[in-house]
Amino acid sequence: MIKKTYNRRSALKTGAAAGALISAPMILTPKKSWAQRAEKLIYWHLPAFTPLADDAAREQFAEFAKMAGLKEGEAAFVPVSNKDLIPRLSAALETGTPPDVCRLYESYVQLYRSQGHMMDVTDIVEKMKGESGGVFDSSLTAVAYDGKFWGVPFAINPWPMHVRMDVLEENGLDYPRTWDAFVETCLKVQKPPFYGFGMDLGLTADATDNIMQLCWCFGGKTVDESGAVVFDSPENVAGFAFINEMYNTHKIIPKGVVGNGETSWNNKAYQSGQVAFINNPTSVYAYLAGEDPELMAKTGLFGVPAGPAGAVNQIDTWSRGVFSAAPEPDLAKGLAEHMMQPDRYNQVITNTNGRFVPVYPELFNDPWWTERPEFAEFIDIASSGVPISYAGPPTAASGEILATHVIPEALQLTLVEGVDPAEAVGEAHQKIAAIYERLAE
Amino acid sequence: MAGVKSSTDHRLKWLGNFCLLIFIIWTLVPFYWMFVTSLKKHKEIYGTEATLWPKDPTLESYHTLFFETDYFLFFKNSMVVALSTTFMTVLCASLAAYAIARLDFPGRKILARGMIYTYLVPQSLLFIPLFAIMVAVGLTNSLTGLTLAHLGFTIPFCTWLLMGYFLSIPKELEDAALVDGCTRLGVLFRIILPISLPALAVVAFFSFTLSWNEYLYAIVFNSAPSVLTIPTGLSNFVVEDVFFWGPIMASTVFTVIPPLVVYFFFQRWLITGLTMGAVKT
Repeated sequence: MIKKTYNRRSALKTGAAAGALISAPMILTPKKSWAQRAEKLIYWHLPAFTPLADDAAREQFAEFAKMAGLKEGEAAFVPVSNKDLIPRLSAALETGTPPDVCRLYESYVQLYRSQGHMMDVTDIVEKMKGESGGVFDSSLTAVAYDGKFWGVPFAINPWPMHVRMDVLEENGLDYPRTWDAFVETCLKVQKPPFYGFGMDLGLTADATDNIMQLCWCFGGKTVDESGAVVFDSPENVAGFAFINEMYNTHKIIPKGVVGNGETSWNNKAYQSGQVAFINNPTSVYAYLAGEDPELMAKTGLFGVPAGPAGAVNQIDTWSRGVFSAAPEPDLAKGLAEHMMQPDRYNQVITNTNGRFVPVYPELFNDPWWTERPEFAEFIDIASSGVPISYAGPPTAASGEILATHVIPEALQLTLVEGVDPAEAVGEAHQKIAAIYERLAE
Repeated sequence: MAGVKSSTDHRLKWLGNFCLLIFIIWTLVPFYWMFVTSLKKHKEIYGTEATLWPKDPTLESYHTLFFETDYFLFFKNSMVVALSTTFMTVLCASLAAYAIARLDFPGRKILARGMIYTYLVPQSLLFIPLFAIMVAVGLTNSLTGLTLAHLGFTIPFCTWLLMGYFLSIPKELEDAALVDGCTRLGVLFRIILPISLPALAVVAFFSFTLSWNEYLYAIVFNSAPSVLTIPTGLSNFVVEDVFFWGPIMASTVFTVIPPLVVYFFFQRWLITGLTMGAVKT
């Protein structure tokens, strides 16, 4: 009997055969690309926290495709994760192969509009304004330019204070309505490692949002209504100084946060029960609704406390952009319009667990909102909220300021190195002015 | 005297074992943490207390992974791309490395240096131009396109790696084969490659893991759900600024298995291959 032996040659042969077998079918049958797209309509869908909301969007897309007479394979609903959107879209725009419709964050609508990628959707927005109750004016700021609309406002993204009501109750306290009272409340409720305020002060987009929301309450702004940079102001200096006191004097913000580089830090801090307050969009609340109903029941949502200039709340606006490269413009615009029909739209919004606030004020009459007292302040926040570019409209420049962390970087000079707040604000002003000058239209 | 030496040896041995133990823990703890996190409920993952073992173990994350996502499809796609990349890399890099190491042609040295410089160009600079090429040749949304893109960074490095190995093989072996009537390709496939199996194992392992884990090209070149790979599928568990750690960890538990299998399969040759280069002159 001959005994079969395995040596290096036989290992090589086996490996080569197996590799060839696996590679051959794939190499011999290349797939069709977008360049040769068979689809007449492509929609990139960003997940909306709950499978129900995603399914509703998918069904609406399919319904529209059917109504438009598109056959199997002519319409593509492509889920794209939030994290992947920008690199994927950048490459697609560079090669002239973007999707026809896609949800976009406010500064990206303006960035891509300035590059000529967005289609004028004024007619769709005008129809939306004609619906009963119209749309929140605050949501139009993000998509307007030169008297036209370049995106279809999809949802308002408020930045309320998420509040541990159980902790306040234990201490016999109410939600503080001024920043001074807020500090006092934090001092009363915190017992490190449980801290009062999970304010993001790292080099993240959330930090810019948190910082500016406080500075606005002190009367600060990044630019004025005409678009001139006015960051170097006594009001912003007062805001920086107040944050410095919260961080270094009162120690109501966890120390390690200045080294944070992750946007989700404050989410985690609240979700893990380590802080009493955070200032964040309702992604946290929507998460709790799905994964931790017990903590959700203890959570209250409020507008920010007031400073010397009052309480100024932030909102972002998510929009649906229709790209000018769409081979069938009417079809692409038709889809955006179809999905914004109020009844249909409400199915998606009310299934996001409060993640998105409707752009139609009338929809706040839906039982989903009226039966949840924690959202009582949302209609006010949605109507009076301002974008991060306040007091100017969102632009490519405001997007770059958010992305490059100019403001938290300057504040860290004060928090960590003890630089005078006025000097830190002045430094940020120089950088912001340079960005606005470079990206001026 | 002998007693003192023996005692010193003994202490050194214990010190070595202690260091080894530290390294073992260092290596295994991430795997352990990954596994136990996959068995925890969201609330426990985000709890204030870091638990070493789940208080209430659950397979919820695995259920989400297997029944609410196309994980098996992503796994299959990753496997096809990684194995194809590995096969093509070993084949092309062997041919290229042999040519550069043994054949005398103009521009050989520049080509050899060019190979490694190509590898040094960061992916973040390459992905848009490469995507433009893929669109032009109709290879987006296909596993073929992704494999070809991966070959762009595996072949240069592996060629360079094999080149060094081939140069360390005595030329006389080839000369003898050539005198006996063997062709150049015959020399490569019958003499050089069997001798170089440890180096090929390193090349195969390197290509496989790089292709298996690759993220940027995978998300940019492919958007159709039918051609997504595991890293791109995994990113669906990060929704805006919220991380669903349970399913992410469950997916990671399964995702590390193929590279581990490849490593264990080639272990003997890998260690030889990795250490051999260190002592050759």
